[in-house]
Amino acid sequence: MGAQPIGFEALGVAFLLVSVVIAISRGLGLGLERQLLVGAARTLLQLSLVGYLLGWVFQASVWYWTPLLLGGMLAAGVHTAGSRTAHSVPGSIGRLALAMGVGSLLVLLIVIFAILQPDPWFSARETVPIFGMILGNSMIAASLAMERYGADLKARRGEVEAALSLGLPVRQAAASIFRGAIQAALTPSISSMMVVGVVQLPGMMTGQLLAGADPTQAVRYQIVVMYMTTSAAGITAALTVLLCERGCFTRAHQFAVE
Amino acid sequence: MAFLRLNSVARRRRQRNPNGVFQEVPLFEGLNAEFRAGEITFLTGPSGCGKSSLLRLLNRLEDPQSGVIHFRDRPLTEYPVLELRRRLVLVRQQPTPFPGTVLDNLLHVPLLLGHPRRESEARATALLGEMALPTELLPRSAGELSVGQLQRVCVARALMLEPEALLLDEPTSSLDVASAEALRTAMQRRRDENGLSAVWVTHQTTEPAAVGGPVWLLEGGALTPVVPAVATGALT
Repeated sequence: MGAQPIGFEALGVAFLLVSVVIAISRGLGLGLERQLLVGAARTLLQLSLVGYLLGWVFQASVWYWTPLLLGGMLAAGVHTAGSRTAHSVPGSIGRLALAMGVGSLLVLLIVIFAILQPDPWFSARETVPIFGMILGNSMIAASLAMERYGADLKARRGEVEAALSLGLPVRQAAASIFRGAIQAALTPSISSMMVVGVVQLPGMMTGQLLAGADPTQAVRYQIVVMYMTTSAAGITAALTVLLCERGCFTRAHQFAVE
Repeated sequence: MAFLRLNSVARRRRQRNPNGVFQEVPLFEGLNAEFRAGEITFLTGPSGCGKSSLLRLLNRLEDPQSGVIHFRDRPLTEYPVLELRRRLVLVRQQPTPFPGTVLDNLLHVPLLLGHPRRESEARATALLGEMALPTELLPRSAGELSVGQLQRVCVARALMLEPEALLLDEPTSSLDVASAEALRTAMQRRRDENGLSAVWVTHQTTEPAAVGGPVWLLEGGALTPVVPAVATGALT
């Protein structure tokens, strides 16, 4: 038994839910009406476009569409993460691209070839949504790690310099900042793993259940999703901080920025 | 043999001009000087003339844009940088504690370098005494100390590495009279009994005469030795 197809009337009803928040914003003077409207419109437009695009790609079933789509998603992810972390670390875009690219693609390859094994392997129906979930977590981890590392290094520069001036290498002089940034980036993933299935049923599992999938299989898919997103977040965060460290210090263990 | 020798050392600083654009402004150019081993050499000069920057160059927290600094007749850049910093240790003007107790602060670097804990603890206790600080401070949080106590802990933390020279950036500027006197006495004794060398940036006009040692004046981008007789007149 599948869920009822959603018609345009149903979408209109769903929009009423957002209009409640717009009314609250207006009533309380929050000034968010315009942003909420634009956000709702972008959700409608972006997802509709993606829906049509995916439908077309699934039908075409040509291998090169998959890497093209993944590349486009990665570029958009790096751009978003970069706009959140602007100026926190020199050369942030390149560092984000490398960390997010390696972290998310590595996990995607393992999930595709060792777990899901779709036929054909480049099947966009599997790789694109899976990569979307991995990349989303990778992006958040990269932003959190870079922002935290840059901010802590600025705030605790005196302490780090004192340690450097005593002959400690950068990694030891800024050890707690290095670790703190990775810990901060991993906190959302760890929190999600702690409460999943208890406080919330995640989107992918809910979607599968609504589409009439067997709950046991839906749960197993969700377990894979939780593990892969945590893995992507961890690898991306560690790489981001390593690359930030290389950008913030010279080979002579000096601050690279004044 | 000069302990430290500066050859045509120049350092520029990035600074915003009135239009808000960053540009490089010379801090000093063509500095030449020789500092001898076993002496406390004082660096004096007006605020912003680059005294602290010069100490940072000696510790290689920064490098000069041009010119060469020799340490024991070899350019600073030929030494492994971390080893160099443990031989020429910088004590910053603003005393900055590491998280933890006074003992944690003193043991932090030696333990990371693999020195035995027992010996390091004995050394920490001895150094605290040398700085005229009671050993009861060892288990206290370093963040709770007064500035005077903290500055002396920072000097002791530097001495834990048994450096050949200390680079002291206005170590007494924010200390009370008794703390400053205790620090000066400790440094004199270190020099006279252990042969410690130091480059000491100071604004206190009486400090060089009280401790004893050659004085260099950094002013207008140039470094010149101050003749003792003139120094007394110029500095008092």
